Amino acid sequence: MHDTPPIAASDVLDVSGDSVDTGPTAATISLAALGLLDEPVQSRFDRYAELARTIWGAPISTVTMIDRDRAYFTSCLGLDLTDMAADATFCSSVVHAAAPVVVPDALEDAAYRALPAVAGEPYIRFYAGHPVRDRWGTVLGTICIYDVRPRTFSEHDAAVLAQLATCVEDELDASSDRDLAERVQQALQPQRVPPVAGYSFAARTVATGLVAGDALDHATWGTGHYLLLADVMGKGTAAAILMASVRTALRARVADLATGSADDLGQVVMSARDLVQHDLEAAGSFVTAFVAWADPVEGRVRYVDAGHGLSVVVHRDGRWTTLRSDDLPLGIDAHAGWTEQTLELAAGETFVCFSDGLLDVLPDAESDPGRAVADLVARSAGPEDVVRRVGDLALAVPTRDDVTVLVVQREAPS
Amino acid sequence: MTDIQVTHSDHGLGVVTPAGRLTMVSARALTEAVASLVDQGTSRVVVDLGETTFIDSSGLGALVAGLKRCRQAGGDLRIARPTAQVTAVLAMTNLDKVLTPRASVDEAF
Repeated sequence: MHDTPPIAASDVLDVSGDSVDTGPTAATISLAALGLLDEPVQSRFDRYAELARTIWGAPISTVTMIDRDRAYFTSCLGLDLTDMAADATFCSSVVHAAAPVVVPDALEDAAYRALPAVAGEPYIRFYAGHPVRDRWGTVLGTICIYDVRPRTFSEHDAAVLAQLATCVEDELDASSDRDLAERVQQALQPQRVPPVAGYSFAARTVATGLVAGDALDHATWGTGHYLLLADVMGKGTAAAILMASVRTALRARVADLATGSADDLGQVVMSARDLVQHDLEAAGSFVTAFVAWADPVEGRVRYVDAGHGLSVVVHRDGRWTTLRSDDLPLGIDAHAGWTEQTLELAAGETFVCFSDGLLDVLPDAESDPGRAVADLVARSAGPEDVVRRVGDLALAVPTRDDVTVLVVQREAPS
Repeated sequence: MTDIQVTHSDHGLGVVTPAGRLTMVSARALTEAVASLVDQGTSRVVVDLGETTFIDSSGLGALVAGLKRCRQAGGDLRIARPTAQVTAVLAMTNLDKVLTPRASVDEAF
């Protein structure tokens, strides 16, 4: 597919596999998975291009990704370019060779002297590029330097460029892991809860990092509604991994309640604990949780408070009741039990459950959480507004902890 | 950064005193301090929280981990002199049931 094959390209394996015209290549799949295509030029790679320019005093440096016949400049310093035909680049020869390419003087090299950037502006004479691979070894692109005068490039220079390529590869890996983790967790957020006659509902998590150690869950079986707000010790990716398994264990066991194969929520939490106790102990972690099974018709909520302690019912007159329990978080004691309790939510009353991250962002909540939450509910126009205000507060200050809030209001008869 | 002091009392107890904020940043140092006491044969440990101004869930996790470590070695871990914030967090999570606060290091065992 190249009219003028780059030097050495004809006698090396075409690793990118782009001679196949149907279907995406391994490199395309990888680039798409890494989120590198069809996105604006990404500054996270600029530091490596800048480092390359500084090390070699070169006027131009790029991090280039090649997708089939197109070259995308993920970072491009010293030139104003976002993408161009791959054939017109030095970088495509690096990708085809799957090896470093050094061109000391492009005017002296038949394979490169006709390139647009050599024959015309900016009149490139020197090029050195090193492959950038994904973790499976597929060459995705290059990191490279360019100069407008001929240069030499020593073995030591080549070794340094190889090091920079490794840094870019690590950045690709780390960035894609972070992006993927964030997207998976977004997908795990409960679906929008269908409207329930006589109630309004809102909930939200604001993560302090990219992924949260707090969990919200909701499911409906028959006329019953399952609600979960849980907080795992710590934050970030490790916390999110543990929380995903706790969330699944609880959901699976609560389903037993819906099908009638269990009839006590305390027992349900114990059997969920049996599934996750080993994981939590091995990780040296624990989870506080508010687990609820609600009957909207009766306004009755059966719940277990596993060391969570942050649930408040705000009454119509503005007074509030903080829900109490004596039960431990999950993961502390392999033999602990949990007690099902019952809450009746009367018309006009608002139930608020939150994670301790809220104590950091809501004024005066640290000293008197119940009062602070009751004040917030009084100032707000319903659950959506409470959640919006909490979101604004959490985003306004750099928080130490994830902030999660869940609000259910039983509407007053009009 | 939390400063963690480790001393031995006259009664053969290990006394660990974390000063400042006991959070994700410093929790590991506390866990390691308790583990190293246990490894050296001191499985009765008091964590003096009189200088601990703030604790988060990671700090609680370090106390629980220390408790398990001491009990596995046949000893125990007790906490003494918790400040108001620490007391409130222990009460909120009901962890005061497994980590009962004592008024002083001397009264811990």
